[in-house]
Amino acid sequence: MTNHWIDYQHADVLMNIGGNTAENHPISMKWITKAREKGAKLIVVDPRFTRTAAVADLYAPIRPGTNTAFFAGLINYALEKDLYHKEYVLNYTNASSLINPDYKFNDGLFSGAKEWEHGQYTYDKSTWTYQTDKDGNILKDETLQDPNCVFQLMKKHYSRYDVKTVSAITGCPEDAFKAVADLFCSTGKAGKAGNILYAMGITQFTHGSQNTRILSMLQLLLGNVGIAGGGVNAQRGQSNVQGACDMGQLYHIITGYMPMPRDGQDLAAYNATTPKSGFWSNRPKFIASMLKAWYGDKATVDNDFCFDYLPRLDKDRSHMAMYKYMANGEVKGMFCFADNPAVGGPTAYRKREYAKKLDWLIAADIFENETAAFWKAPGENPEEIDTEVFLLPAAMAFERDGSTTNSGRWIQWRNKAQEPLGDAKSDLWITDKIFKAVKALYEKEGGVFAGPILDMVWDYGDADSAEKVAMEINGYKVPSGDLIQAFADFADDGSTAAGSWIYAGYFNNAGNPNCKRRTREAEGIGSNLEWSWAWPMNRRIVYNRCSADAAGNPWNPDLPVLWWDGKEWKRNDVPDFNATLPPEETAKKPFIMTPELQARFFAPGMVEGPFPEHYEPWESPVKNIMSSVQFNPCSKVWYPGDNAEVGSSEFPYIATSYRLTEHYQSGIMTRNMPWLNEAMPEMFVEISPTLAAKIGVKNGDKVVVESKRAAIECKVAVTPRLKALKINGEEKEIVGMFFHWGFMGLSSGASANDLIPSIGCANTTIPEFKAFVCNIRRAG
Amino acid sequence: MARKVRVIDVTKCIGCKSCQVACKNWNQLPAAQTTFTGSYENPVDLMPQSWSRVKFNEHASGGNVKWYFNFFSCMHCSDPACTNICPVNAIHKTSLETVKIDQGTCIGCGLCKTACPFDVPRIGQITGKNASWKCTSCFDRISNGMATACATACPTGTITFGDEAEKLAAAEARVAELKSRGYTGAQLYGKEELGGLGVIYVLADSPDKYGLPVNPEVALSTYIWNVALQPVKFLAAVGITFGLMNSMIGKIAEKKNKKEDPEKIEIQS
Repeated sequence: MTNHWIDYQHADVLMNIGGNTAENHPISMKWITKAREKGAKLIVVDPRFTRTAAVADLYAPIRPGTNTAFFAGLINYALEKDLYHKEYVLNYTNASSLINPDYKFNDGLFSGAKEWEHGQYTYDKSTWTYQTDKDGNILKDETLQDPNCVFQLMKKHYSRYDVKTVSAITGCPEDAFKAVADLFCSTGKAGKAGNILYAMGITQFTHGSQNTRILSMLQLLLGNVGIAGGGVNAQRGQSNVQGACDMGQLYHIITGYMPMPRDGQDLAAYNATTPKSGFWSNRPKFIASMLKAWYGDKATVDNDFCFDYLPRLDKDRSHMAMYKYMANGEVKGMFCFADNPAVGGPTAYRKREYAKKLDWLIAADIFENETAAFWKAPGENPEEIDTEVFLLPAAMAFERDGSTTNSGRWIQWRNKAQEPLGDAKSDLWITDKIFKAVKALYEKEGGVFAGPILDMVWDYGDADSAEKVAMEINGYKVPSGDLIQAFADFADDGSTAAGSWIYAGYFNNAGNPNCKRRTREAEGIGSNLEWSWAWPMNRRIVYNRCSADAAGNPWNPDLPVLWWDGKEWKRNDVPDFNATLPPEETAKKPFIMTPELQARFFAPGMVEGPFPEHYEPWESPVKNIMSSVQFNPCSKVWYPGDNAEVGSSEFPYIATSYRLTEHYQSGIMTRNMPWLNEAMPEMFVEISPTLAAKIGVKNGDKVVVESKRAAIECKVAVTPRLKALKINGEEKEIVGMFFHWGFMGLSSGASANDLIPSIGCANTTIPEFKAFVCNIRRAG
Repeated sequence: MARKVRVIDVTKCIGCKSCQVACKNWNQLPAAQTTFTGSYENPVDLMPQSWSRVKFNEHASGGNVKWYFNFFSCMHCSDPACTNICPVNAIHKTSLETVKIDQGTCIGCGLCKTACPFDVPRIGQITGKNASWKCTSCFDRISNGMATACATACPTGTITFGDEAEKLAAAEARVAELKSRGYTGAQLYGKEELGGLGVIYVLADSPDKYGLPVNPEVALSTYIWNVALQPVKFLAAVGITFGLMNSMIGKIAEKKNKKEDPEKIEIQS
């Protein structure tokens, strides 16, 4: 999130799209309700009428997998009707920057497309560049009239997305789309705040990254980034998934969002990829500090701080790639902590199948999950499975000390509420014991490339102190051990160490660190700067220079985040710019994390193009009407032929997956909770009364749902909350399904993810869980 | 002590069932085996071990869908029919004007269930003997200065708890505010009904749309029975008149409580 939960109360209009906040983030509704009590309007855009839609002021349906087109339409609407925030756009974004005249877009492809494999493309991005003068300064046209300026290129690109076209693609009726556009674009002026809150219904597509890009572009256009009540607010689906990402748990990034080293890269080559300007230009200090924290005295300037100990991203190591390698027998063993891909992963039944290829599997969870129990799935014969499985009973969150980082980046320390039951142990205890045992084996027996293990700093004591880990993450000075106070303290000479640079300051002293603070704000705008600590720098609204105009006057005087009083900056938040300077000096550089110091409408960093473009999901009932490129041309196709053909008569219905309030993720926590099973006892899918009539089923009947990959059987809910949508003139029905069930636990049932294709976003590889096609019929 | 009431502002309800689960948690009630019958609503009825639940009411008309959620449990009436009818005086009003069943005394005859204008108490075995069970308004919490479990767990402020006068004033203000915002059907429920309930609803539409009886009434026979036969009502209850009385009161109660069918979807086009 650019903003935070409490800040929701300041919105004038909130748009929940690609998420179901009442269902999946119920506490958010506390703040949305507060906003609505002050007159704010809540818009819900969703394929079905959700629990959030039930309390919304405006509901608009949308076909799964067409969010890019929906936002493209909103951008076009705002530009056509002159509803955007001109001063904001001119000063705070790259709208005025001039682009290489050789940059082109034609029939769904941008300039530089090169054929790759399975009909897919890669790009030579050499034309996706700024025009610069001889000193490298970006050329600009502040009248925004030059046909090669970002603003004009954007306007041209999205002029193709008129209301009629958007309605034909998305299935959102024109009047509903216009109602959304008018209401949300009403925030495109000074003093008004529009908040877009979303979740996996934006990201889990082959074009998921472009979805987040384009909704951010809309927010920039309307001047909704960096202000109170606005923002681009990704609501995390797990309580600490933000923290997991911050700690480098993704395959392509290490701690603090630094890139994973690539094959053959030494430290000099790695540092050579450091951006020349913006805050990221400090990256060499952060990587040196991380290595110093990991390898201590062994990490010196002379040996590149043991940079060579880090694993290299030699090839695609994403989730789907890893399982493909497992299927090929290349993966011998797997640690699976608090993860249940046999239910939660795409084409989930294949996770159960491929696990048989492992020599060993170590699973740690609070209950025996389907991944650990794959060998006893219905139809399996354990005698034919050679994989050795170890199941470690894990303590649950309330049985261990540690911090949790929420979607608003607030890092809050939690004390253990009770001792774990039985033999259950904290993840830290388990990891500590495994590491020490492995290290002892290396010491005794030696081994290939033992350095990364033998030289690793590992001093968390016998009592596996979470606080000692926290202090390492926060960072300290070498050799004094004094805790780092802020990331400005970091150096690249080995004099500082830190596990994740963005956390510098959260555990700034051993006695009462910032993340344990619990002082409510007495007055202000809800920043609560003395309650916990938020990365970066305890900042609650990032890019907050944009909350004020170029002269430092807040756009909304009633909700000032930071303001210039003529002599100095006054603050309700931690400034995201150099606040020792007068406003004119930062007026055109409010985005300190981009090299150009402005937000990007045109973003050359993206894999599939600098402007988001509508592509159909991999499986779609219709042809792409915007171009001859059917789906994201840069997505890696792992399983060619695994998708139904476009407009398949065998799988004629649009399918999507989602969650319930009563259950959580793969259900392993909640399906073992009798009270929750009482409240939501069984797996079911949802269809409209018209589809029910067509296939001859009534509410509560059993149905079979089939995709190109698998079939499942479960009950059906027939409800007017789902409706057929008119796509390009044709009525298309939707089947909605929950992915919480599996064969283990007190409540067991079919896994919807068995049906899901294994294909992912071209940028992040996040699987396309949210849009595919299926058939549905009466069971038996 | 001033009467404590709950206000249920359904316009803020998101149907998350936190209240329902918190009720089971605080009261340590065993889980019931339920099945999916076509609705998010579960359990589909109150049970001896499930004292509160959220009703999910779908209404579709003219292409528009409304999905109303509302919390439902004992209303803690001012003059409870159950207290009047109970042949063994197992049901009483507490010092905080909530209605409490003493399961030790209760004989599980079910008269309270049939007399209740909201069809709330449920007869069954939780502690080894047949008895009547229902929401206690968390008497163990509220008599120690805490709010009920449902109000405490509610994330949106739908369920709040406090002194009657204060809560009523706030609820009335909320209705006025909703009306001013275009909710023409906004209304209060429970202030006038049966002389004032211990659970007050802020509704955006008519009560029947939320599965609440429009004009809840207590059968006159409940009072007659209570006054006329007070001295011998225990004997009567266990005697042959029990069946007669049960059916007489029952018929009226049933008439007042159009039992919603969760499978039934009302679709008008």
